[in-house]
Amino acid sequence: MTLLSRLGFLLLKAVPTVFIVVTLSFFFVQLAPGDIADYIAASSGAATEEGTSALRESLGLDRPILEQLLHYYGTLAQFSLGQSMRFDVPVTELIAARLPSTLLLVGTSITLALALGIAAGAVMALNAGRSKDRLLSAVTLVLYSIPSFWIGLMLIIVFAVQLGWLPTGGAEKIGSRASGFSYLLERGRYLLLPSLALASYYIAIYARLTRSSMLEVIRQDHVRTAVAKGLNRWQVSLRHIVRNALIPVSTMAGMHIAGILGGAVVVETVFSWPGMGRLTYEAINARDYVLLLGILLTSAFVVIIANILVDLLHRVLDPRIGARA
Amino acid sequence: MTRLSRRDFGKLLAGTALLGSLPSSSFAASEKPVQGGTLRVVMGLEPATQVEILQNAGGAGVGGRVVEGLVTEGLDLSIQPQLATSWSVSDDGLIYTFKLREGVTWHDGTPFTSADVAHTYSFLKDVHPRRRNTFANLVKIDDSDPHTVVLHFSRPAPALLPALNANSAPIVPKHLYEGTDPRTNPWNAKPIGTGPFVFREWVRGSHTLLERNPNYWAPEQPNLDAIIIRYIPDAVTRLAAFEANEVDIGYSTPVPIGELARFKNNPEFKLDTEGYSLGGGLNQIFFNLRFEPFKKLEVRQAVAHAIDINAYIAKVWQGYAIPSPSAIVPAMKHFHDASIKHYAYDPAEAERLLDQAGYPRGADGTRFTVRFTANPFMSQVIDGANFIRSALAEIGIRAEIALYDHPTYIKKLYTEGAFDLDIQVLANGYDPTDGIQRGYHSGNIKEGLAWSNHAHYSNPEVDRIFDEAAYEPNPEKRRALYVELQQILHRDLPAVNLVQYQPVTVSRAALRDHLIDQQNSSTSYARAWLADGGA
Repeated sequence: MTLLSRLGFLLLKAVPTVFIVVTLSFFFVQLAPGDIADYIAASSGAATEEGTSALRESLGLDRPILEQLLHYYGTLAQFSLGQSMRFDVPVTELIAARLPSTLLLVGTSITLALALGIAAGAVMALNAGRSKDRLLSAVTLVLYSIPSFWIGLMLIIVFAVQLGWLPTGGAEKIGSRASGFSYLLERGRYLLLPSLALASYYIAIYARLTRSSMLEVIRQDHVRTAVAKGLNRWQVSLRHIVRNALIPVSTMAGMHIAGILGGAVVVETVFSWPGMGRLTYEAINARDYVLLLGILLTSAFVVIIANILVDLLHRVLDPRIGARA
Repeated sequence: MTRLSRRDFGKLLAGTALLGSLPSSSFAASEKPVQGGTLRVVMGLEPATQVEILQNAGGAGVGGRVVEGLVTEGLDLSIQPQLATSWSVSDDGLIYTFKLREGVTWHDGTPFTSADVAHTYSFLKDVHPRRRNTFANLVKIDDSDPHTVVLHFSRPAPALLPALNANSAPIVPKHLYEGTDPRTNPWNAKPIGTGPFVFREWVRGSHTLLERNPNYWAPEQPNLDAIIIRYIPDAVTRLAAFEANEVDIGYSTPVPIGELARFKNNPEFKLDTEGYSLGGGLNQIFFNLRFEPFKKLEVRQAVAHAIDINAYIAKVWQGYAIPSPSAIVPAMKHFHDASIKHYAYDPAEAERLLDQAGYPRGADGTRFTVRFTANPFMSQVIDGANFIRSALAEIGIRAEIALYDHPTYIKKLYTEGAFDLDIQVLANGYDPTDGIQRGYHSGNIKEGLAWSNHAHYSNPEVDRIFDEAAYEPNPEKRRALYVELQQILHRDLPAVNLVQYQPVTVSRAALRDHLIDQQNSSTSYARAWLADGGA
């Protein structure tokens, strides 16, 4: 099977996935008590009968549920995600404004988690049983068990409040006119703490995973052969041990993308990061199912694309994978 | 470049002002405002739209900074001119005539006229959940003179003026709203107003940026160059932002209430409790009168006797509340009846009342179990629920707290009626017709309607007083009616009123003259200035 046809197959597989995501999510949202009219009444602290029923009517909430679902399919069939009930603007507009900053946060977090996790795991495996291994094991255990919002708050207290090195939150300096390298540096200052907080749990997982799979690979025949060939320690470690050990790690990372997208809600709230996570939270709170379904669809696409990328990465790491298929 | 030099000039001015007034002890009064600088405001809730023409949301949008009302309320609750320079009311209370300020232009350069006021009020009557009441009997708006607006009512509207400020009824330009659905008008998200600051950008989830309006109608105002409103949803992060000097001011207790003490003792910060009188924040417990046991008056009296209000204020509100035994809070001083006192804290009396009502303690010491709900809007209300639960346990009532998110709460209470006790923050608003009537008038027992009379309290005498007072133009007679009402409510006890909670404004001490009216987070900052030129 060529790469192109494989991609086509994966995308074809995505269509029923999306259909199931939309339908299930629609019914899950309906299960939650209350609707957008209740939310608006609650958050504005005032309501009138006429206003509430006019709102329900204009949003079609007074129609039977199946009719609402069919109406939503109809909107999707026109390649539109519809109009947000809470914000009265197109859903695509809201998502387009938030998606880049969430992708930036999630992307940076995964990169950080993989880089730090694999490095720590490799050091642990190569020094298995010694003091370095024990120390790093303890650190990863701590990272694994502490919730990300607490790590986020501690990072804010130390680096933003006490030391004053980094901002407490936000995504960039408001009204800044910086450009080029200084712009990147400025963005980086805002990105560092939230992505560390989001990455912490995954650093621990990848470190443990790298350690155990490296210890497994170290005992295999091809490693002994490589050592016997007279390759130096670094070449053996990087090319023959780490590379083989990366397959389970990258598989897990692909599966984690959905989880990190979900975890972003908490970190985005703590760092007032203007991303999709907070938008999702607002959509659920407001029972804005049109917006929520739009977000879920977009997230599903992000996860599907990420998995395709992981698939491609596997072929690079282990050429046998493509050949076998 | 010009901005920098202006700020430097401002600093120079501040320096001379300081030096010049050092010998005098009252140098604060003689300080000359510094020009320039950027004010950084922090808000917890981000609004769905930027102008308050669709609702009074908890999170203010651009507020009085960009859009204005006909009038505004001073700190002493007096009505002061804004877009109207003067006004008069006919003797029968049916006709309000407003003279409008001349030479005012919208931020897009179009002149402001009476047609804008007429158009705004006519659609507010249809779309705004509170103005629907305010303008219910508005039959005609005369805008034939461009600088005069005449409102004709079919019945007197004594509560009109306090509802016409920048927050309650902001005037928006007719030329941008005419022929559109105000609910979906794109200008709601990028408002054009007449205020001291011009809307520049709104980055959803992050901030709103406003810039100085060089053509503002009040000469030499505003002082500030720009305002950034940042949306930070987490209270602890807001605390960190204050400590890291990233924000200048926040409203309605922007940091966790237990942390206020730290700011109180820090000379770089100032805490203000003024400017919240129109909100009429009241914390109370409603009973569900449809079911036993709270159908019985003795049982409700027992609950009232079980609460130690001073301990409640100290533990739940950290002292930032005052007792409000009556349904109309002390802040609403024109109507509040100070002669009403809380039922005495007396658990023994409470137990006696419960025994008498036929609810003896069971084998496990419990008399009965009730469903207890709490309004999720403020975390103190949930602390309050826990306090009340312990107090009720003392007298043998087991209260099971059920916590819901906003839409579920509304559905459970107002549609399903699935509660026995409900701890609330049903605010008084600016007038009894605005915030109190809805909770007690039997005409407002409406299934499915949020903030209606969910206790199912029904007393023809109370209904009569509400109906009469709403249209009573004579202030003394109106007060007498509401005093009578408070006494009936205290006797019938459909709700135990607990406290008027005190929201706190936290600001950097360098920010001056920001507290000029009752608009709190919607205030205009027209006269505000930063003594250090801004951080």
